[in-house]
Amino acid sequence: MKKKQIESFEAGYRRLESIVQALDSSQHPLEEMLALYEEGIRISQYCEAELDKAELKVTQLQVLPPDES
Amino acid sequence: MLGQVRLCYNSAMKMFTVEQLNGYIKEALEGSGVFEDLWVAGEISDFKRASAGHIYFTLKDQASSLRCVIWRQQAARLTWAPQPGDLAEAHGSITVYLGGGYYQLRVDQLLHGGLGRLWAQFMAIKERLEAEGLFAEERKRALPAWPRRIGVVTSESGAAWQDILNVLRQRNPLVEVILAHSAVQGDEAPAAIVAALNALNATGLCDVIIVARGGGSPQDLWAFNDEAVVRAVANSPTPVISGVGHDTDFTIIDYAADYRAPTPTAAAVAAVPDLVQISGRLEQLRGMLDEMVTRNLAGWRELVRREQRALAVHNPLRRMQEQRQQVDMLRQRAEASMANYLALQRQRLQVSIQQLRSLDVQHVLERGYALVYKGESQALVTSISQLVPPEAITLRLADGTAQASVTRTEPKEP
Repeated sequence: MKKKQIESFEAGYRRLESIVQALDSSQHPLEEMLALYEEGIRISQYCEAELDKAELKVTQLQVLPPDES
Repeated sequence: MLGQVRLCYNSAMKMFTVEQLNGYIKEALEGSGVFEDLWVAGEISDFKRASAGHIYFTLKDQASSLRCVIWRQQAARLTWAPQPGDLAEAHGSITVYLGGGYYQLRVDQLLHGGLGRLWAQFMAIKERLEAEGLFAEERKRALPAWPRRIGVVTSESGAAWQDILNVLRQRNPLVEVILAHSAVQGDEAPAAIVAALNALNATGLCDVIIVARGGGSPQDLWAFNDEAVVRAVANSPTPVISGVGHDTDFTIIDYAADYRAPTPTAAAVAAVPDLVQISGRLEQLRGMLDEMVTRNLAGWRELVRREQRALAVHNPLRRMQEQRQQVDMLRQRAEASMANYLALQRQRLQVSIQQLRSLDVQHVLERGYALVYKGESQALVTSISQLVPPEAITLRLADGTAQASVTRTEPKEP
């Protein structure tokens, strides 16, 4: 199975939720299940890593004085 | 709304005295708890300072008037000299003066200045915009659950900005914050706030915008009641969270914003999901993942076992084993019946031996019979023809022998 790129923490988190839900809802073919599991583990590791390295990014917008805008 | 007061007529006269009725009214008004701890704005008139130090005046607007009293102790703390015509905001509770038969506001705080006028303006703007439908519930948008970028309109040097940064850093450092600095008080503030909000919206980058300012006096917060600011907030393409002042402060943008937070800190909290919680949920999901796969595998294993059991039934080896078992069983049964048979035979033999034993000579002797031997020999005499008197014989009884002599024989009559 091809490894899909995880777009963002949020996307990963949502995918993880859906994987868990999918696994919970029915008996999957063994290979499919293991693939889902593997993906879930990979995503959870990704999300944890994102959390670990997260640092608030702050930028300031230059606002033109009201009378010039 | 008012407290429950039971009216009781004077029994003799079936009517109230004036004092009674006013007493009931006093009880009802003051006991209700409704007219306590309230602010009222109006213009001061009939201002009198009594010799005892109490101050009496009337607060009025165009349509109505309200008697007020400030007792001496509070009056001494007054930091300004109210003049008739001054706009003022009074704080206190309604009491009923029995002697005069009227109610009055017992004032414990009297604020001077344009506050009364400000309040009127506030109400006017609010009512006008409300009538336009700017604050309608259906205009409010849900805040994004997972904002990536948060726009903030506030002063770069204000405490509010630091509060917001602190909360975001702690709560969700995954987001990006874009500050659009703006003056948040003074005459230039309203236009600056509008410009900052518009600039943030123009970037198209923000998922949600916080408009914030720390606590201050009503005048300090006034820019957030400005009509242009309120309209800009109401019409912002990006959802807006207002976080102006302290918990108890209300500004008009609070009504126009998609979400009103009581403080800048609360606004930041409302803006982003809590990563600590999410991290916990992640851990939980990870656990569920393991658990489900384990369960799933167990399900498969159980299926395989069931098939194995089904297969085993048809296993030829097992068949042979079964047959061998049957042979064993038959053999055991045969052996058992053989043993039974032998035991039975043995029992019968015992009976025969018993019977034989009863035929034993000794037993016969014990019943009184005797054996006869010739002389002292072992030759048993079984017929008198063997005896010729006088013949010596030996008699054997059960408990010994006796020597005897035969004197006469007599054959039995045939």
